[in-house]
Amino acid sequence: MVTDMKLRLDELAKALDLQRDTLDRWIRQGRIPVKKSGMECSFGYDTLKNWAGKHNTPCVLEVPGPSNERPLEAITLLGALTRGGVVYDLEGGDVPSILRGITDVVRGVADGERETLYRLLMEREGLVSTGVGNGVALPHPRTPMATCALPAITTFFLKHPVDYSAVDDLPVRVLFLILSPDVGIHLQLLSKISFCVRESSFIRFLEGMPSEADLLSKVAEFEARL
Amino acid sequence: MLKRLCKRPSALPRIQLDDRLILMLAGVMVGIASGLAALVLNRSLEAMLEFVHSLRGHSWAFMLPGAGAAASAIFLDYIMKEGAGHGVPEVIYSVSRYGGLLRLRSSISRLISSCLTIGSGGSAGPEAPVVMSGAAIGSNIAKLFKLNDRQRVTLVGCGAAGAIASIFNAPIAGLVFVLEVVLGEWSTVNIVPVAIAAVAGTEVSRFFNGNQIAFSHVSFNIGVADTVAAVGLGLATAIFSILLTRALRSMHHVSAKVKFPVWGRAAIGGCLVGLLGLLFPDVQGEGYHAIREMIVGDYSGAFQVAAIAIFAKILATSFTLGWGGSGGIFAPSLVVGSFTGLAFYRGVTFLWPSIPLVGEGCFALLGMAGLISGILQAPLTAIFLIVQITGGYEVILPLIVVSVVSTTISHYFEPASFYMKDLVDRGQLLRPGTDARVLNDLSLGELIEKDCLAVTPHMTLREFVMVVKRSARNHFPVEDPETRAFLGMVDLNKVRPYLFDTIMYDAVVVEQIMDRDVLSIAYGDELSHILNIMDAKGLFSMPLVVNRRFVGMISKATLLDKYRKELMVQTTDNP
Repeated sequence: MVTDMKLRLDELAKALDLQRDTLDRWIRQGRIPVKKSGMECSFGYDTLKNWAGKHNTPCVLEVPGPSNERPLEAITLLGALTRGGVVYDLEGGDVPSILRGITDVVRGVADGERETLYRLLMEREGLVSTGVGNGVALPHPRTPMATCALPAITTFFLKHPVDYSAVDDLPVRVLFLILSPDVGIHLQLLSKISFCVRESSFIRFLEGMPSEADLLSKVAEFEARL
Repeated sequence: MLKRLCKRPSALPRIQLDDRLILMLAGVMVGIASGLAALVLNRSLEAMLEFVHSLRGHSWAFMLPGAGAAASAIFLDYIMKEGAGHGVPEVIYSVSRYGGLLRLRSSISRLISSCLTIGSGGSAGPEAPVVMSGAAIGSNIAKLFKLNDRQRVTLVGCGAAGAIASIFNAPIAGLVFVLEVVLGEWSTVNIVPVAIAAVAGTEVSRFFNGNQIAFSHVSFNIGVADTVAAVGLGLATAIFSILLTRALRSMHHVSAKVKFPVWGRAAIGGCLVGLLGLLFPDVQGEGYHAIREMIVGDYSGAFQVAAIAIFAKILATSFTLGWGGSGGIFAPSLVVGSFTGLAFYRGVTFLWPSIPLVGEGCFALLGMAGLISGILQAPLTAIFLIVQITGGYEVILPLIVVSVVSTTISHYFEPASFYMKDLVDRGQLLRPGTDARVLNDLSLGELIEKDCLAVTPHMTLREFVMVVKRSARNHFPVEDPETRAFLGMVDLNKVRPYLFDTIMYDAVVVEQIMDRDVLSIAYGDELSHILNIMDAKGLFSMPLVVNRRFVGMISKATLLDKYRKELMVQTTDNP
C-alpha cells in the first residue's frame, strides 16, 4: 500500500540529509521519486524509503514520537559532586584498604557490584597511580560502569594521609571517585576536576576540610570560571 | 448499473498513471509526430526536386543551389533566429547541458531550411533536420506534460528515434542511433519508450508510403573473400570519413574568413555546388538516387569516375554545409560510402580479377556502413541501419568487419566523432554517469561547509587556542574585525607545534601564524577546475571568497560524499 505524504521542501531536505539546492535539482532532473508543487512536495512513502535505501541516503521520515533518550542535561561538576556526596574521615593505611573503604560506602552502587568496582579500581591503580599531586587522587575505573546511569563524583577526606605513589610523592589526603556512564562524560569531568585541583587556592581550601555545602559552593565558583 | 456508476464516479476503477506509462504514451505521440515530420520533409523534397528538375535546361540552373542555400540561410538567421547547424549536435548539446530543452520553433525551422537547401540541389542530408524536428517535438510534449529533465531527455530521444525510423523505415536503426549517439546511455528507462517511438514512427511511414525498403534488396552470396576484403574497405572508408570530417570543418574556417552576410556566403557555396553539379550531377541533392543505382549494380561510370565522384561529393557537401546551407551529413556520408565501396570493388577486381567477390552492389552497401561508422563513430548504428535499409541479413559478417575497422581507425585520428567534436572541444559533452557530468551537476552552493569559526588578526595564540577548542574544523579564516574582509587562513596542521607551547600563548598573535596568500575560489568557478588546482597544489580544501568575504570551505572530503551520492543517483535506474 502506497501512502502518499506531503512535506515542505526544506523539511524533506532535512529528512534526507540533503542540501535544499541538491533536492531541488534532483526533483527537476527526475532523479528522485518526488513531485514538487510550489514550496511543497509529495511522494509515496514506501517508494521514497525504498529509493533512499538504494542510494545510501538516510531517510528519517517518522513523526518524532516521545523520545526514549535520556534528557540531554549539561554535564556539570557541581551536579556530579552533589550526586556523589562527601565522606569524611575515611579509615585505611594503604591503597587497597582505602579503595575497599571507598567501595563499601559509595552511593548508587548495588551491593553485588561493589566487588567488581573494587577490582576495577585496583586494576586502574596497578596501571599507574591516579594520585595527581598536591595530596589529591582521582580513582576511577578504566571502562565506564554499565550500571551507572548518571555521572557522580564522591569526595573522600582521609583520616590519615596515605602514601599513594602520587606523581609528586606527597601523601594523599583527598580522593575524588569518578563514576560515569560513558567515556565522553568521564573525560569532561576529569578535565574539570583537574582544572580545580591544579589551583593552589583550591588545594588550600581542601586542606581546611570544608563542609559539604562549602565544598559545593567553592566548586560552583570554580566551574563558573571555566 | 451504468446509472449507478455515473452517479458515483468515485466507484469507477481509477487508472493510476504510472510515470513509465506516461512516458510510453508520450513516446507513441512523439514517435507519430516525428514520423509525420519525416514524411512531410520527404514529400516536399520530392516535389521540390521535380520542380527544380524542370528548370535544369536553363543556363542559369547552376545558380539554383545558391539561391536555395541563401534562402535557407535567410530563413534560419532572420526569421527563426537560429544558427545554421547540422541539427544532431544541437540535440546532443541540449540533452547533455539543458536536460533536453529545445525550442518549439526548432521543430519546423530545420525542416523548411533543409528543404530549401536540398531541394534546390545542395548536397546535404534530410535526416539531421528531421532528428532535430522530432527531438524538438519530444521536448515540447514533455514540457506540456510538465515532465522532469530525465523524462524530457527520454522523449527527445523518442523524437529522434521516430524520425530516423520513419525516414529509413528502420525501427532498430532509430533505436540504436538514439542510444548510441544521442543519449549515450543504455538503460531500460530509456530503451522502452524509445523503442515504442521507433515503432510508431515506422508505422507512420509504412501507413503512407507502404512497407518500402529504402534501397531495394538484392540478395547476395557472401563468401570468405568478401569478409577479408571488408578489412581493406574498412580502411578506405575510414580514410574518406576523416577526409569528409576535416573538409567540412576546414570549409567552416575558410567561409568564416569571407566578410559576407550569412546568406551571401551560403549563396556562394550553393553556386559552387551548382557548378560541380554540371560535371557530376550525382553530387547534388541528398543522393539516394545514385545509391539505388549503385546497389543494383547499374552505375555506369568507370572506376576513375567513381573515385573522382567520392572527392566531388565530399567537396559539394562541404561547400553546402560549410558555407551556410542547412542539412545533415547522414545522406552525404551514405553517398560517399557507396562511391567508396564501388570504387574499391572496381579497383580490387581490376588488380586481381581472379578473386571471387560478390558484386559491386554489396560493396556499395558495405561502404555506406563504413562511412557512417567512421563519421558518427557509432558502429552499431551503421550495422543495423544497413541491415534494415536493404532488408538483407546475408551481408552481416563483412558489415561488422567494415564498421569495426572504420570506427577504430577514424577514432585514432579523430578522437571525437563529427557530431561531438565541437561539444568535446568546449567541454560540453556530458554523458550521464561520467565524471564531467557529476562535477557539472554539483554546484558550489551544495558543497559549501559553513561551520568554520572566524578569527581576527590581533587575537593572541591563547585566545586562538580557545577557538580551536570549540571548532570542529582544521581551518580558520582570518577576518578584519571591522570590515569583515577575508585576510587569510590559519591551517591547524601548520601551527600545531605552537599550540602546545604555553610560553608562546601570549607572545604570538594570529597575524603571525596566518597564511596571507591563500588560493581561494569564487562562485562560478568550475568544479573540475577547482579540483585540478587542489590536485596540483596538494590541497584538501579551499576557501570560497565572495566580495572579499569568507563564505565557507570546499573540501575534498565533503566532495567525495556528495560525489558518490550523485553518481549513485545518476547511474541507478529510478522507478
